[in-house]
Amino acid sequence: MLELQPDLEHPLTGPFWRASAQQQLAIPGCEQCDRLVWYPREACSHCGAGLYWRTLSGRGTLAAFSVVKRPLFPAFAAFSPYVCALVALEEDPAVRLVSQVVDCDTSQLACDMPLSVVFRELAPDGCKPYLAPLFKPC
Amino acid sequence: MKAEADWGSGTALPDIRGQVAIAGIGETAYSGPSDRTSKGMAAEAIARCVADAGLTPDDIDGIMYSGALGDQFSADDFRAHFGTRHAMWESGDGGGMVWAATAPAQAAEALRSGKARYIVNSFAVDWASKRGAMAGGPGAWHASELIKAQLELPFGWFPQPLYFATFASRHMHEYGTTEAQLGELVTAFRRHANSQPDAVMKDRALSLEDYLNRPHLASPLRVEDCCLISDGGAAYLMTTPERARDLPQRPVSVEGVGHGIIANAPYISQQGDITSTPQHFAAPGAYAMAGLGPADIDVLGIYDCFSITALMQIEDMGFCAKGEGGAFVEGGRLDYQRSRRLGGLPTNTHGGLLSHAYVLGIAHVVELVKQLRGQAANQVDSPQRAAYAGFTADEAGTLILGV
Ligand SMILES: [Zn+2]
Repeated sequence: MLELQPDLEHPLTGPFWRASAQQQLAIPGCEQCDRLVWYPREACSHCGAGLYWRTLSGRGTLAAFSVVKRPLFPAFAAFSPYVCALVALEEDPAVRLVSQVVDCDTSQLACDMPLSVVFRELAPDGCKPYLAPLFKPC
Repeated sequence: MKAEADWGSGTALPDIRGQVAIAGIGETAYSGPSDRTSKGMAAEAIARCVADAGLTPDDIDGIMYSGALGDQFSADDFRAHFGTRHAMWESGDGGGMVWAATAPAQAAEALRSGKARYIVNSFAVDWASKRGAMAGGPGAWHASELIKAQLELPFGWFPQPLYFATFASRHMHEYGTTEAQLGELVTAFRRHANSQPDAVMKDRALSLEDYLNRPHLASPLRVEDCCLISDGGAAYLMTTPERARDLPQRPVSVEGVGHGIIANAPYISQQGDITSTPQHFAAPGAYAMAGLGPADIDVLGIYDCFSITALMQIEDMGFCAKGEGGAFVEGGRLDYQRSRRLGGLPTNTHGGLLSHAYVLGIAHVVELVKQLRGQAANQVDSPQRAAYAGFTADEAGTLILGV
């Protein structure tokens, strides 16, 4: 059985999910060089300075995607069919958020199309529902 | 190839050109669920490998395996199974995937320093048997890693078919690669399996039309674009070229080894260029060590966990320009009958992970040794140089062999 439950209290990744619960997209930024650092880590991968959780615009583009009609694992049945996506964030397109595209005609999806964040509750089997930053065409 | 890129790097390896010879190979039968165990299959492959080299278990004083997987065949397992008592040099940096390519680099040092004279590298999996329970298997590590478990799985980006389905969409967007081109690669490997006696898919023909009529598993990939899940194992034996000359088989020489890794390892979602693989950083080192280039390779074994990863690695090894892999594989160019002289690039002549068996690359190396000996089922016309491209997603290894 796959464990999908986000841990809101985890010191490294919990802030991402706590922000999401407040309908905000936040990822770590550097206090010194101002660059985004993804995935979360103890210190800036560019300059070694400290990080803080920075709220972002929620805009980005579709870097890559896959339409999944049937879930590859039962755990994903709750949100299937779904469009799995890597989203390049507006503030730094080198940062790709793993997410989903929703509210779309899958035949119209194309890489580099603009997207904006939308918060949706996901509730896979065995999980407490969690509010997740997903994306829709804009 | 791009000269420099900042999203990964090649690893400096000692120059071992001409210092290691592969003098023995052995394999089990390959299958779906079989109730065989990994260790039992490794023992069988090793026994055949040692016999193929004209040696006995008492001669083997070095053993390599994948230490990262708990069920591989160690020195203790060797002594218990073969009833030997002598000390053995052992290394957990062998096995399949990338390490099926790089094992000779570490073996060379052990041979040179006299720590070992005859070293077996083996790899075996029972993932077809274990699949139902999801015990182990290719997705297990990914689901247990903290960042992936917390920031990828909750969105459903798991397991590996989804990683490479998304990457494939990007390759198609940037370069115009088509599903039919992926199908050309898939069906070429399938044709090889159809005339390879021990291939799992030996009796399952697949035309390009069949392929295109199959539904997507995760667009743009179909089940046929994804590797099998298999039970099986294989092994190869390394020694010095001098000792290999006294053994019965035609020695196959290790000419070059390379290794590359992405900057954001192990997180391929953040890899700088998702239309490429770390093979971009591994192959140049192997070519430089061997004093060869892509034009010198007569037969290729490429880690085809997915059609798209094979296609990208063909580009990354310089057999064509980045982005031209789709056109390159069209028209049967990968078929074993299409030698380099005829404008082809015989690739995965045993059927690969897609159609032979998913034993994580160890059977690719065994197949290349057979090709260079002239013992392959789908024998390429007199190959002199072979290359194996190993891959774990965030790392790649390259092995160049010659006779
Ligand atoms: Zn910084």
